[in-house]
Amino acid sequence: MNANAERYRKMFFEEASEHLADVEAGLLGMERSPNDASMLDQVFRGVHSIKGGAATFGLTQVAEFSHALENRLDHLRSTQCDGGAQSLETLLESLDCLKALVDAAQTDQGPSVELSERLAATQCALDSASASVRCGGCDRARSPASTALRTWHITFAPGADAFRNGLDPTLVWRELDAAGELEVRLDPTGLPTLDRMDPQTCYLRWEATLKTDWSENRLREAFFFYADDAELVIAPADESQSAIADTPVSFAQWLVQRGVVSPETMLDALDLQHEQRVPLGQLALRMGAMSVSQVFDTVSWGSRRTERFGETAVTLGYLTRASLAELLDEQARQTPSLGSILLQIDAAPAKVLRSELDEFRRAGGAVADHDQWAAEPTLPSPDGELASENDANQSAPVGPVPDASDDSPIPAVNLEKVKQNGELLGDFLGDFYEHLEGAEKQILLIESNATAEEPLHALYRAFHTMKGVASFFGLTQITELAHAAEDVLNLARDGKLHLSGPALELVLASLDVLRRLAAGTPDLLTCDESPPADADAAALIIQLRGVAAGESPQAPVAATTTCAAESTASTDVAKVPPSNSAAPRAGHDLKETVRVDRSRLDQLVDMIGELVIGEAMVRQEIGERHPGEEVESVAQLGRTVRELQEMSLSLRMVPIAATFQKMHRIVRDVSRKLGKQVHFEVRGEETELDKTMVDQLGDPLMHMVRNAVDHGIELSDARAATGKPVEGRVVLQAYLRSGNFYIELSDDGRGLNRQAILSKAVERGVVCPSDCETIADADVWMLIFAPGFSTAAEVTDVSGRGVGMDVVKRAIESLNGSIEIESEYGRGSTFRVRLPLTMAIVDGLSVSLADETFILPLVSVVESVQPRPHEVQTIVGRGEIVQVRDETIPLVRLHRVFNRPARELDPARALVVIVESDGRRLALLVDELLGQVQAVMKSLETNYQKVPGVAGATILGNGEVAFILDVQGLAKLHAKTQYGKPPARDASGELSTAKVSDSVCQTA
Amino acid sequence: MSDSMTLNRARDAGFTADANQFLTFTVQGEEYGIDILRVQEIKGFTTVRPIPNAPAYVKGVINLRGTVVPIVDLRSRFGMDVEAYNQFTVIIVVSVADKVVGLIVDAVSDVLNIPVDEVVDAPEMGGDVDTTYCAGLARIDEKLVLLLNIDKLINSEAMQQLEATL
Repeated sequence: MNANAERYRKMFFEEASEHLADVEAGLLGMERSPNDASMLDQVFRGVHSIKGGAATFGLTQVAEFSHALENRLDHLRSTQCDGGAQSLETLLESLDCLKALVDAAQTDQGPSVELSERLAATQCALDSASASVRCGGCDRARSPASTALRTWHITFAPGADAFRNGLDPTLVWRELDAAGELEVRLDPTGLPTLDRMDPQTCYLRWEATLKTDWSENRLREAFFFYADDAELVIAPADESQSAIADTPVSFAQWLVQRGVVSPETMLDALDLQHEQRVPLGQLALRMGAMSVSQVFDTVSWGSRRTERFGETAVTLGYLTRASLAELLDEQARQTPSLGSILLQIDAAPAKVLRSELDEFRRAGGAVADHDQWAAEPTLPSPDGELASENDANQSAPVGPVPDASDDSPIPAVNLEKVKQNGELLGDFLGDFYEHLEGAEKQILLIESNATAEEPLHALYRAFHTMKGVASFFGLTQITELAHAAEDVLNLARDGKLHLSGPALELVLASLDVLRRLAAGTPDLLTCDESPPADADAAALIIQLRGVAAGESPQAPVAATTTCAAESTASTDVAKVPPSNSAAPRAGHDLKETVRVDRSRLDQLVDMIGELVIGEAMVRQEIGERHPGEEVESVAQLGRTVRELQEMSLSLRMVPIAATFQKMHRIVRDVSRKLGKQVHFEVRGEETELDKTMVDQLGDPLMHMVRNAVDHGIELSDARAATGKPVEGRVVLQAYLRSGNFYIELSDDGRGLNRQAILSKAVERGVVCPSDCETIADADVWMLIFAPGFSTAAEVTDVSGRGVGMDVVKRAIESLNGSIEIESEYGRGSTFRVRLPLTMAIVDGLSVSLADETFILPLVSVVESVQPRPHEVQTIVGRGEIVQVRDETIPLVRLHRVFNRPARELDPARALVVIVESDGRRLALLVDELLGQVQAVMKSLETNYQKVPGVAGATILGNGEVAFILDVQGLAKLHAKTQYGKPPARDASGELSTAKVSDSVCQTA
Repeated sequence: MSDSMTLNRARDAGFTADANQFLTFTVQGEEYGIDILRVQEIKGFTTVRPIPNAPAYVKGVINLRGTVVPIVDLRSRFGMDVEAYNQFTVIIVVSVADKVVGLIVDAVSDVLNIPVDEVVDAPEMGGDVDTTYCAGLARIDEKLVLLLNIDKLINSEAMQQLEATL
């Protein structure tokens, strides 16, 4: 796969995960407000986009599954019948499957066996749900066109590799069986004798007759996965019932030859049909097969080489052949049939047309195959191109403009379309302004050198592209204006018009109007009514058309007056200062974003970290040279660097909303499973946090939320009995306070039971029975974070195995955060998680050992003390302990666990730092306390390996390396290096202080 | 020993062309060579921050323009006596796999062009020098140069030996 494709693939996965989140939000929204159709639309769009993308990248399984899901959604949408809770359950389950599939595809692994089973089951559920709705008749009522039953002959041979590709051809027949009356005959003639047969090769071939209301395309979709090497013929068995809608294009010739329609009228009709086609690019955009930038790319690339849109997209790797075919099919489907157009322009009476059609058929007219339709070589339209985007190259009407568009007033915008693509408008404007500026430059070039051809071509291309992109967004008037100008330029290109003087003025004036119109587009998103057509633009269009039609250009006066009339003429469209100021204005209205590769961002942040270190070094050196002096330049540098650092950190900040969003789902699933009524509320979801941390918060949060619903909230009966509202309340909120990020999860459930926890702790031997009375509440609550600690009477499949809370604690601690609990029995509990804003910088305490510096993360530091001689004791076989107030803490000599020299070996003369990790405290013996530092963490594993007891390294202001200590690792190291046998506990890994104090009692 | 074996070994060590350029240096009077393409830079000896509980031959880490780079003392790696570092002591910064490692050697001598067919297999040297990290032996003029396979010399297994003992 080339690098480009790989990049787009990556982009697809990024986008897919966003779509999945949207879908999930939409599904949950559907549950909350079943009547809100916009939720269903959101879900549908998301699934559809994933399908499109997956098909483009050949992720067939993802595409297939999302297709099934989409079908189901489409049925829901069209029938408006709410499938009920059951159906939503299925949808959510399928969403999970889709997620798993996308994940599997991302790692290039096939789905696991388990997933495959789940998939099959879900797909079955989806299909049957769709089928039942279909049979329910809602579907037929919706689209009368599809009720026409037709009989099809299908010949199908799956191809030799079908089995090897994991395909089961019988599934196709099963699907088609649901479509109508199906009769299948197996043609076994291809089967070799047993001794020659390769069991993995497919020799089968079927013939079938199917009477159905399905369209041919829909039938073909059933065979979607066999596209490459299968033999497939689908032909209508009877054509008598087929409507005009299926007429092949060469029917046009027939009609002309028979004299039913004059050639001119037929040309008009074909023109009209051609115009009414949805541009392929627009379709690709709508179906999610291509992104806006890809479409722009394709259009500009293609117009440079006058290639077809579709072909260009395939060449550029934006579309696969298969998805192009799909797009073309879709385009054909959305284009009105020739017959209906003939009727529309009153070219012939319906009766005549019908009888002609029958006649034509009898004469052996072409088969109504969409592919053939689109590619029909004798298509007598101005050109046979598939994409109207490029058509303008050749088919832009030269000469009189068709009456139709002059008669009818032009709507200024297709508001619906604009809103549909609202989020893309920012991209659109950026591109548009670029083209406007480019066009302006070219006009100036043309003015200075009227004979040069290249600027003229460039100008033409600029208008052409502007026309194209505007039409995607339904900005009808912009499209019209650009189109009119383009026509004039086309004449100039052909040498039929000399572009100078008035004509050039006209083009220039149209640029100004275009800019003004474009600047007004962001406002469209918020207004409910389509604004009236812009008078200037309308006037200009007429003038330009006049020029194109061969009138001598005489417009400059009018053009300038239109400009002067600007202020009065435009009412709804915001007035915009000309030229450059327009672009920033647009940026102000729409939040523009740039997608940046994660690693590049990390690199940038790393480099800025280096800069901070470098700055500290410079400052130190300069400070030594100019003692006691504040050097202005250095201070200036320092300020800038710090600002830069802050900015760099904010780059990686993302709102926690996406993670919180997932919790909705968890609460919903868990509460449903347990039969509890829970009202879940989320606050402060816009609070931002380092992306790395947001990603790692998902799991612990999930455990916590699950726990709150399972253990916290009581069943409705119990709640009613205690006088609480029947519906439980769980509130999840995030906020920033004093440079830290907090997440608070509170419920109004039963609260923690001090007695139950303590008796469990005593039973497990982590707490002395005698301590039970004196332990503070906060310490009791912390006990629930011990591994394997659960007070739940029974293990549910939701929680209660006691694996949850220690995972939470460990995850939070690995993020340099901490967690605390407030709880009142019977009233509820609050879990409060505190996190630093970023992982890249560690707030630390620097300590020394001989002349080496080490850094202790501030989060794990409790206090530092200098014990008196009698407070340090040696316990036989257990090592040393320090008595700090009422607590006994094991003493860890840093120099000993690290095998390094120390200046001071006597704890009473050195310094002891009390550190805490995993709920256990250690007294760390060091020589000296140096002060507080902010350290940029560097992994030792990059060039070396993990070092026990060391979390990473950092570079100090003086350029030297210092190690950042890992308290948890130190504790382990201490246990290993301690003389005597390692402590017997550790199995529970818990509350060593309580235990030690126990043994102290005995030995003392 | 057969030529093909020599060639294989040479290929293992990453020698590709007919002749390769080697950076030669001395450790305790012996001449050694490493593929010059693996050498990132040569820098004078600076203070090294010892890594807690690292193997003896891993002297520690240095700050190489913001990157933390581990330093291996080749004398100690070869099991020789470690002498005090002097003004000739240099650190050769090499890339091994995707890691950057500094090698402390007594002195850097030369850059030599050594044709592949002049490389012979190193004989069993017994005792001090483990020949697994010898890519071959080349005779240049009157000197013998031992060509090192630094991937094997600085392999992670050797570096992780100590972890197992902890």
